[in-house]
Amino acid sequence: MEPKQSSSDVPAIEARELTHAYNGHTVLHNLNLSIPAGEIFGFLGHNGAGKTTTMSILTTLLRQTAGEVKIAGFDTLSQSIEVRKRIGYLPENVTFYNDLTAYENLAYFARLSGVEQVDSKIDETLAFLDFRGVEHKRLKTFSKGMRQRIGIAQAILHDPAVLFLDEPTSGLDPMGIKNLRDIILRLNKERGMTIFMNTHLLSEVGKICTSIGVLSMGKLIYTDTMERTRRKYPDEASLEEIYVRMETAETP
Amino acid sequence: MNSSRIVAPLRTIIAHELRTLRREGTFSTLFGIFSAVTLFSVFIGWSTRSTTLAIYAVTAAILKAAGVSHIAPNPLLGISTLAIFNNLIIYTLLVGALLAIVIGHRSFVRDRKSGVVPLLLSRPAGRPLYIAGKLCGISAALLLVLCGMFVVSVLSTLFIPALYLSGGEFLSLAAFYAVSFVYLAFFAALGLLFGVYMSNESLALLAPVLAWIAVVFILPELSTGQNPVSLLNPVTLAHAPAASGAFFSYARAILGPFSFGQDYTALALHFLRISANALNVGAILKLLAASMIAGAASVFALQKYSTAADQIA
Repeated sequence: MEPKQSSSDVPAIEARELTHAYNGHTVLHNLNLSIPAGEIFGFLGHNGAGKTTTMSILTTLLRQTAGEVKIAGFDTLSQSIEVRKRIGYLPENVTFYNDLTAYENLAYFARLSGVEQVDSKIDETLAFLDFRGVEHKRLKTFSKGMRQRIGIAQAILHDPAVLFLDEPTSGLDPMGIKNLRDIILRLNKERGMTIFMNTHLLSEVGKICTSIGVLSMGKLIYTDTMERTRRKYPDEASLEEIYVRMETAETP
Repeated sequence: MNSSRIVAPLRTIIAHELRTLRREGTFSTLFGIFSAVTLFSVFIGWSTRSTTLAIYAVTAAILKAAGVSHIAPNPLLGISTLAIFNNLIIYTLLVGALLAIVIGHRSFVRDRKSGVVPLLLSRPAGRPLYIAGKLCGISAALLLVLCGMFVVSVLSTLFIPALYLSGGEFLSLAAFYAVSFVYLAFFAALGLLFGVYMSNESLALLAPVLAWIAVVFILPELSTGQNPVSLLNPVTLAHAPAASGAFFSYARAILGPFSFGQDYTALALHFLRISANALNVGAILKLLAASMIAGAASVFALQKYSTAADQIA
């Protein structure tokens, strides 16, 4: 099924002069961002840079203090319901309902997302994730990696246009990280989903992202495609070195 | 927003609440506790009644043997059969309210601890529907438990010799459970409200318990001068008159309307036909209004939730 997209020429994510203050402290400063549909965007920044705050605003969980945000052409404040229909979201450290089975967890989120053929959609999604056969097991028996797959499943059940992942590889073993990377790439290639990913793992960003943004102390200090980034920093061997150079240049 | 956009998510959240309570074992625990309490109460009521009847019979026989011609009629025969459920009032007032607080509290804290609140709030249903669904879900859970208690109560009378419920008493018993539901729904809503409003789990549980202590003990004590233990007794103010004096008069005028425990006791006594007082419809409306205000406050608290510290990384 094709993801819900308003128009292919409309940016999947667009933020203009996005600012957010919390308890008198400005945590986001005039952030401008435009991510075309079909991108895998890696959002980088150290702890406390404002990545999760940005994601909370993009997913309509938090109202920005100033500025404008549009997801698939819909305003996050005035058209929040339309935005929610078009996004999938996986926050960091979700454990879900341990006493319910995988199927019951997924069915709950599917119904709340307006999915009509719940059974077939869960079956199709679990097949896509190569994760069938666990539907009727309670989540309390699941490993971190298995829970993360359930997390991805609930986020894509309703075929969103944009998928938001907050530190998706956090706590996963190398095999889990590789599996998740493959899933993200397939979601992007086979289902055309735009993916916005907060992460610390620069090696993963280098392997799967088509564009990146770097946030430092609430300011977007860099954004470009991966290809151009590598061309701009030809002397740096890895993305980690590029990132360190950007952060060092920005730090007063 | 059309009706299916409201009804479908509401139904989903209600079904989810009930399923989660069942899986956690909360339902069976609650039903077990309340059934035990009901049976215990009926046993005490029956035991008291039959002992008194036996004492009367023995005394009457002794008096007859002594040649007394006029023996006063048995006063217990004028008391409603429903009086054997007398102790349920105290159990609902105490244990029921605390369990209702825990159900309401856990309803949101469970979601918060499992990290699904951001997921749920990023769904098209929206925040007011999410809380409305939770309120309906926990209300449905309480209703089911109370229906179970009602059935246990009725069945228990079948096993008591020479005791049967008339049609009117059957309806009165149902009304008693209905008013108990309204009373418990208020505390469940209060548990939910503080669960949403306070990020500290322990304080979120302590706050509604303090509110319960206030409306059941502190406010009635300030307005009547009665000690907390006597406030628990299921008797009307006619049998336990309030203290007189200017202070208590003012306190009664100001705090009396918030003494929900006394309101519930008076209504329960009326429906169990222990008190001859007229039905206080205002008290029922007040309990209903209090539940609705607590529910509305939960919606408001959730509107503010996104700016809470645990959402900011």
